[in-house]
Amino acid sequence: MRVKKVLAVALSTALATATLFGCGNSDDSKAQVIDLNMEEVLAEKPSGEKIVVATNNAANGRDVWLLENAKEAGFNIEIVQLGGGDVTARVISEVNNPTLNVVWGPSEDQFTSMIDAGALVKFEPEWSDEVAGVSEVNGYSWPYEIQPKVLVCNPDIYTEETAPKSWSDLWEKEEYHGKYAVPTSFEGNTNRAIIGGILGQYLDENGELGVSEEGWSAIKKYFDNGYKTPKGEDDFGNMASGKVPITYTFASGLKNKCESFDVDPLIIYTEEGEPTNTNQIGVVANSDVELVKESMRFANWLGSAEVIGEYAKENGNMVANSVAEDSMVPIIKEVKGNYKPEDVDWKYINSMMDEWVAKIQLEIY
Amino acid sequence: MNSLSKNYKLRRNIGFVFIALILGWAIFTFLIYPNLSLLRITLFSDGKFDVTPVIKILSSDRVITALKNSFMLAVCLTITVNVLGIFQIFVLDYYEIKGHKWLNIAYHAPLICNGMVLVTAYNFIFGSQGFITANLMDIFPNIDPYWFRGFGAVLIEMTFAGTANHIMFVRDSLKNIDYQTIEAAENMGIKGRRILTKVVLPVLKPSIFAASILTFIVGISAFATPQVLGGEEFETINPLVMSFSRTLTTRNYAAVLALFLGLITIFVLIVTNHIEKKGNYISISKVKTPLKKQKIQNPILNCIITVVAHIVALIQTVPLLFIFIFSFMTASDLYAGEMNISNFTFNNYLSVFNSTTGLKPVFTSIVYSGLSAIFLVGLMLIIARIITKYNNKYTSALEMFLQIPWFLPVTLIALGLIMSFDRPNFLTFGFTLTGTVYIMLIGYIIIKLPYTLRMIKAAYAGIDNSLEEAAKNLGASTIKTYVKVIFPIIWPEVLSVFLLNFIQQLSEYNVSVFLFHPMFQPLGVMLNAATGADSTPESQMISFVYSVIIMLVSIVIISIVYGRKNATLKKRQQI
Repeated sequence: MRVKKVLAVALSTALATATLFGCGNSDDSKAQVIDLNMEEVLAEKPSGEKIVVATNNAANGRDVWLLENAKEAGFNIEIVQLGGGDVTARVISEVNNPTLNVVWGPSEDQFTSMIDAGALVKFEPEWSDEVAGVSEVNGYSWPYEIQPKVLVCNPDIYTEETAPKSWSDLWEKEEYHGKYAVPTSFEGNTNRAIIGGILGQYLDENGELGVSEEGWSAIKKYFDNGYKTPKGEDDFGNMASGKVPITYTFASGLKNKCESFDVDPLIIYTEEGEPTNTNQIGVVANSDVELVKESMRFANWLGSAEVIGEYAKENGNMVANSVAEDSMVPIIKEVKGNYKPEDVDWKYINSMMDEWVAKIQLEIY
Repeated sequence: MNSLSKNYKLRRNIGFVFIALILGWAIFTFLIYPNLSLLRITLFSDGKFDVTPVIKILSSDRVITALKNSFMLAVCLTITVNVLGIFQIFVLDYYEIKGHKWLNIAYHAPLICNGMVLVTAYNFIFGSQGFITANLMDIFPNIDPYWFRGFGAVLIEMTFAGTANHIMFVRDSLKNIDYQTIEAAENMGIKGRRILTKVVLPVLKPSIFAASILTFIVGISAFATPQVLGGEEFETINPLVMSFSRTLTTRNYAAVLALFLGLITIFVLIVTNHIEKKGNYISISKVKTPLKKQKIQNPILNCIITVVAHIVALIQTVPLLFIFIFSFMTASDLYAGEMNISNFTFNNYLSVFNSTTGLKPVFTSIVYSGLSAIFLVGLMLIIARIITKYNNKYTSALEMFLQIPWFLPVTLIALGLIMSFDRPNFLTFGFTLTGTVYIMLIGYIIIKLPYTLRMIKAAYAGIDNSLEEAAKNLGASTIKTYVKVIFPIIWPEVLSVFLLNFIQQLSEYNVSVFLFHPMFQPLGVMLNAATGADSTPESQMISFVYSVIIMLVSIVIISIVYGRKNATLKKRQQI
């Protein structure tokens, strides 16, 4: 009897709440249009106003590098270290009251969702011509780094002849079964790009979620025959030791990982091409115009050939800025010269990714 | 006389209305409104309920298995934690066992370690490339490197990690036993084991009950341990919920899964509430004789129990020692399972101290955890008192509302807050909370409400009503009775709850990541940024450094709080 009464109270409260909502929550403050003259804004010296830079590029002492150089250039920044997915989710959910000013590091599709949510402002850096053609221009976020995902093999176990030639070799040829690492989480950009790279080969309007039956069976075989690296093991370490001799990595991780595990892996340039995205920089919309201007100046400074070149030299990135290419480390120059971006409809793939990942998580993995 | 009592009644009623108004506002503003609005956005995206996620989830073998596993884990864990926990309590407080001081520290040790880091340490010790496994394989080459994986491994890790929580609470009620009742039983000719089951255990029942419910919830929402030690053969549901709740398009899956979990939890709560109400408990005595420790007469049994007690202590402390050692190692050594003392380095510490945030996250987390723990305890002392004292439909509803945070994934709670209060709202008197330093504090308080309520309610349950009546008959006012009689009795339990809340929030991540103020980054966010999806092995080493820091902070706080607690207990025993 009492339970019933309690439930009744709860239900009526719930209903009252639901009706209350009917009038709230209008999407009024989206897409703040600020008309700024880019040249004027960027020509001004940094004001030194404090800006918050959210980035996934702050580990391993990179935050210190950034802070010191920014300070030298006249910027006063606070660095917030967050994963790409976390930054994106946070910027979107804070759209009406942002706490972050510059976002540095997420991939273009993460930026697309921030733009769609109306969380960013339009801006064009002085180096926009130097990154022309690297990714589709959206007017809000600009690439500073190209991030192909490459297959790598243990050099003592495989030669160029015996190593897989394409991604599909991994699951189609029995000799590689159990020898390659597959994604074990679905949040990072790299793992999502790998999945997109495989399913993107099988796009089919009539298929489930835009992918043909063949595609779903391919990805199932890919996961079934791969090695799911348990926590406490490192896929790159397993590759180096020969335990699981094939894995993949994002290009900018090569330098650091090779040093950590003291290995010079065989890098495979596959027939399909490498799943490639770019990492970008953008400015968060804010009602404080001066803050927005200063953020733009900072983003402009950070992505410039000189600064990003210096950054790439230390950390092994593949720069998007053509003027800075000379400062890339040798292994990245080599990758840059040999890799071929996989030519599939990434825009569509990225728009479907969450649902694909959900299907994989529920039915395939 | 008549007017006096009328006056009293009026004052009392005004007081009630006042409290009810504030509670009603707070519950609606922070528990109902944000969560319902988020559920509305996720489940009713086009204005009507979308059934696809429900169908897809129900037809996924992986999900059904994971749900079953979670339930099985929760049930088994409740049993194992109780068995081991009660064993530990008897070793500590009931029997005379050698090495009491050391055992006492060791049995509480897992409390000070972040759960994710603790299980990571287990994995680097017993996992496929762990130190123990590597050494075992040198001796027995045929051993399966994955021997410590699956359901058994998860249950073992969670049991040893979970008893500290259990004993911290149940122990306090053992101390409330009147030794005279045991003596009386002995005089009546009742022997050792029957005294345990007939006299001692019934007194512990309320707190064992509360602790069991919490253990069940820990089991059903297990996240880190199954992810690390479960492997493919033992997956639980919460990692899936977390992963779905992170992306916009799959948030509805997370909500649906969370509702499933919520239903199971509600069912268990209803059943236990029912049993709880049936039980009649022996209350603590008014003039107690402190418990005297019993000697185990049988020397062989004594020996066995002593040895087992110390083995358990080792299992609970060695992983912490390893975390300390790991924090000095290089990533390549750690992953190779090699401990080269010559390679030990301070580099991991240097990269934390030299980072742009330095040690600021430590202070940020101490402040947030401390404030939220104090507020929670204060609030629940009042609310739990009202709920235990006035048992009616309003207080039942109140209790149910306060348990809402148990039924939703914390990510959704955080998102609800952030999206509801990102503009001036009449519920918050026109203030915007998103982006302020307050919202994370509110989040911290919300997620610990159910736990704190349960624990403090259980503490009140151990109080004898006649004590209160006696005080009143002697002319003490309600407030005086509370301050002088009731509060001193529950004070030790209150301190325990405060400590547990404080320590657990030190490394909180899921709520913090959405709510923290950019100038004040908490430890949990730093720790996770180092171990995230695209992190390098080097940056993962930093998580051990942060864990060592968290352990140090916890130890300092525990010694301060326990210093006070022991003083109180001693004082009480002298009286």
